[in-house]
Amino acid sequence: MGWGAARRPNPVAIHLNLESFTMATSTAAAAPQRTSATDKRRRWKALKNQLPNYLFILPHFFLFAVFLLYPIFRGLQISLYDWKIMLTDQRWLGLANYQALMNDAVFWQVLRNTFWFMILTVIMNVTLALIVAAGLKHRFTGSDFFRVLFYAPGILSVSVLGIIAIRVWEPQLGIINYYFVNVMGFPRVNWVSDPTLIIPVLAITTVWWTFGFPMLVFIAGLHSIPEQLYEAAKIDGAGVLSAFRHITIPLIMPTMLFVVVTQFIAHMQVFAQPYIITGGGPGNASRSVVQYLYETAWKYFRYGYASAISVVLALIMIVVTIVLFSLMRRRAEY
Amino acid sequence: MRRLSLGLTLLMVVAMLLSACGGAAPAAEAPAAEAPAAEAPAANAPTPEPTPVVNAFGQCDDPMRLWHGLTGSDGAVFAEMLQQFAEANPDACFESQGIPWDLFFQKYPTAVAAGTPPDLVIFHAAEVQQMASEGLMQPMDDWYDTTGIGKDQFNDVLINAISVEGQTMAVPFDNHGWMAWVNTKVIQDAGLDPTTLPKDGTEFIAWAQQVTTDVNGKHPNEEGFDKDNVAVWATWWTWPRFTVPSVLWQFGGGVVNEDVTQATLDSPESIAAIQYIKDLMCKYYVMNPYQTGTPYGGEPYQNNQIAIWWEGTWTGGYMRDRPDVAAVTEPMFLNSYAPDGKQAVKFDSHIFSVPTGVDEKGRQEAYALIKYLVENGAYWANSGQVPALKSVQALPEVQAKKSVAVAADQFNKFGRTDTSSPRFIEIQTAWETAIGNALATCDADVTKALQDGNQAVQAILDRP
Repeated sequence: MGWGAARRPNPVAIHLNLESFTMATSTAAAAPQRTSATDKRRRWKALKNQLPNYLFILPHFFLFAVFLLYPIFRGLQISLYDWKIMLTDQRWLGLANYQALMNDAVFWQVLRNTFWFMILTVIMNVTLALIVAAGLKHRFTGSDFFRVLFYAPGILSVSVLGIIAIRVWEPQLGIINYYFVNVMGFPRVNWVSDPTLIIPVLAITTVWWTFGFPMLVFIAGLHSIPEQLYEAAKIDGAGVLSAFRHITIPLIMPTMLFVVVTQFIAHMQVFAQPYIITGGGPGNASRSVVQYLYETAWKYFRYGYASAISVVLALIMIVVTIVLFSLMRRRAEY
Repeated sequence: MRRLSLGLTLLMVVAMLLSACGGAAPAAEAPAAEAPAAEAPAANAPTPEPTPVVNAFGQCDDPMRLWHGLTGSDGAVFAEMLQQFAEANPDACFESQGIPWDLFFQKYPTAVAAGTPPDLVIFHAAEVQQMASEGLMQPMDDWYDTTGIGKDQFNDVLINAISVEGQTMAVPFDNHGWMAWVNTKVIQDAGLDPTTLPKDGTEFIAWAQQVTTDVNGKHPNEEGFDKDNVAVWATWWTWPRFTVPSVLWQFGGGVVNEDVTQATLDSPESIAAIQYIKDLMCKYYVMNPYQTGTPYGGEPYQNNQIAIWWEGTWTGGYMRDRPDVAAVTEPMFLNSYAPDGKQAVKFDSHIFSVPTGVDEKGRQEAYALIKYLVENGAYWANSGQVPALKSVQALPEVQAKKSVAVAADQFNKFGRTDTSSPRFIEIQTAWETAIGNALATCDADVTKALQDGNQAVQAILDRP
């Protein structure tokens, strides 16, 4: 019982004399004290029982606080200063870094690049992964081989991916242009240096590299759909496409939500592919937000401004993630 | 409600962790063998080398620590020089750590700020103004005083570039930069004399059209020339960081004015220079189309597909490893594209610096190593780089290396260093972006791209 409830007028006591009333009220006042003491003991006991659990998470929480929470709040703090690494007294700027960022044409361009890359990559990754997963869901001779084959690029380091991509897309000596020009007779395409092509090229390269993971997740998700549903649909005359649309898609939505959100978070932070393959060029056509952030901090030594970029990027990702959650949760079938 | 707010809080923390800390973003790895801090990664360049290479010499509790970015082919020559120093100084105790440039410029400032700097670092002259303005370097005038090696024994343009407010912040180890690697076989096959090269931009176009051929043997000025199937190029688009400043200066233009207060990227001279390059690519078809990043012509050059290859002095190492290619190669001064034949070439330097916070012991040990390496720069010439001391440049064993002798001569005659500014790297990124926009496609507007780039550079200069 809470303190507020204990102070409510006792309807029985109203009919008693003053003495009785006094006794009644004093008894009522004593009751919560006893309850509070009991609650405290109970809470302490519960805490004591749970203490080992807290001790178990303490090492991780300590590391989490030191290496993640503290840097986050430090980053927020640094974004309010003209931060120089060797100074002890930093120059306070308030929100000036954020104001400058809002007027920074490069920031808006790299943000557009990043969104365009993310949208292309997520759509291609999800679509391709789902189609391949649907094909590889059932066991057949060689299905394991194909699963490994499609997953294999994902184990490459991004540096290796970059070197392969340069070899593939290079306009004069690359493999793609060899077939395009020498075999098919098309005009030579400057894949990595054309501002309109570079983001799709990077997205295709990334999809080849990363679609194995969502494919595996989709395979697991497809296995969780009861076969009886397909059998019933078949009896009712549903075709393959109809079953895919009316059974697979709705029931795969929780998996889809997971894949889309994780892919969104991963690809909004694209860095190494443009950094290695194009250096962010031509111009700023393939520069990503994280690359710009990195360059601002570690090449220009503008730590305050770089921190402001990271905070804005974080806010954007939070908002988009919430929107994705709310949009997709509505359609999710659990 | 509590669940919702808890969920949102967790979501925020996760998103901030992911973006603010760059959780999933793989670390950048340094690309080419010879590249300053802000180098764009290399297309066709040597494989990035992510792991620091540590060499330890002598045994003691507190070795002198040297950090550098010489992780390419020149790194092997450098390691040999350190070994020679250790043999000549048995009491010396030091360790050398080769770190790819991008990682170097993360470790260096953080180590200095943390109070644990290495005793000696090597980076580039072009970055001195920026590092000095961040308070990461100690003045080194006393090195010149105590060793008796005067500043006048180095390239004076270079000494100016590494001087800040009257103090000399570093000691040059070498001069390195752009030069022309001329494939005599390709030129002879075109029926031309490889010893007589075009003297200016106008002559070059006519000459280049004679050299360039498609797979059918047709030249660009002939009917039916197939620009999509070129077999031999007169020249090759190379690393803009050296190519573009060199051409801008040849035309009398530049990125900024002399006192680094005004952007000049949209001056008529600068526009003419970039338009000339674009015409080589898109009008005359004698240079391969623009490539982003750090285009490298090593493969087509060794396949006799390039006549004049503008590349770095460090290509001496490439030639050393390919004697058959070296046999048909003649290193020369960078040819001029300017209508009046004005010569200009960009060069830089690996410099030694003692970081802020190094104590007297570390400083003296560093000074001894610097003196040895500078005085024995003749061995460094094996990497293709030009030793910094003029007296060493004149040694017979250095002069015997033709590419080194030619490069030294051109740097001393008309070499120029890059923009001296505390915001050097930011300015560099801005103009490289503009050049990319100007050259990326044949229908891109050069003037507009350079005007935009000029605004960007000016904004950096004007920022308080």
